[in-house]
Amino acid sequence: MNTDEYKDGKIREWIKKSEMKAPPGMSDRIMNAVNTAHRPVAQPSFGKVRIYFIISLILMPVALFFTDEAFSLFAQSLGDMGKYFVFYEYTLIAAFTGFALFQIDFFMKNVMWKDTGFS
Amino acid sequence: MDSAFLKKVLNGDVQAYRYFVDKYKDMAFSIAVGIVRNSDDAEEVVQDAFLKAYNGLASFRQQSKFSTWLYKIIVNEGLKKLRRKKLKFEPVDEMKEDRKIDETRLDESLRSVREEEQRYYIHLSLDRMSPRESLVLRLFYLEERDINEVTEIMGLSKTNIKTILHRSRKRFYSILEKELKHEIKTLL
Repeated sequence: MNTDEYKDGKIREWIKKSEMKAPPGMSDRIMNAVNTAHRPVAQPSFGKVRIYFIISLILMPVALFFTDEAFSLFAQSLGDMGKYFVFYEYTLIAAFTGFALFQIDFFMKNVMWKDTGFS
Repeated sequence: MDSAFLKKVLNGDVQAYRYFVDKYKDMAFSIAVGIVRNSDDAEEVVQDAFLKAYNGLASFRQQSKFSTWLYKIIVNEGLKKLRRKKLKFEPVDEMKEDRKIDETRLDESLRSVREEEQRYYIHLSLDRMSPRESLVLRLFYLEERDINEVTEIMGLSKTNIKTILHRSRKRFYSILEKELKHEIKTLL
């Protein structure tokens, strides 16, 4: 069925007569409702979020490895006093883990479950 | 032009949204009236749709026109309203006749009545059709959307839209002819 044939003919002219004007003041009423609504904020696109997520996941163990090495060397150089720095190392690992969990949660909410009602 | 104003709204200029409201309110209202069939409900539908579009503006990816996206929201809001009122979106009766209608003669009959009466008969004919049919006619002829856009707005397949368009043209001609015949007989 070719719909181009429908482009011609009187029906277009007739249907044009059915155009309606919005009631007066409707724009103001809509704008009043809009003014009280929350402001929409631009969200990162799916591509950007995905790239950010993948890069972070690759960089995190690398960063963790070097941090661990650096702390070990530093702790060794301090001799007996070095044992106290182990506590700081664990704190750092916990912070990295927390950040990774936050990222996974962010990814799930904004990309995987977006507009599904699960987030 | 739309994308420039879209950027403004997303950057926090709430008043820039008025550009979209002023530009699309008439067509939005025509579409809503075509679905819910009364001005009060239509205004409510349009207001809800504009608000929903505003709240969802950040997630609008601009893969289609803003108007296509907005009309889609209006159709969904209109259908929601119909469901709440427990009205059906389907035609009540099927067209019984499939005869060819002389468009020129029908046009002559239409021209024999005054301009405002012409509008009345056209509105009447559209109102006698199912909301789905009158909506396709309005989107295709009034808003001059192509089939792909009508498909996106209505959320139906291309084949479905083509079939509805074909059927609704015939139905429109048939109802208009019937109404005009009645009017001409009354005048004579």
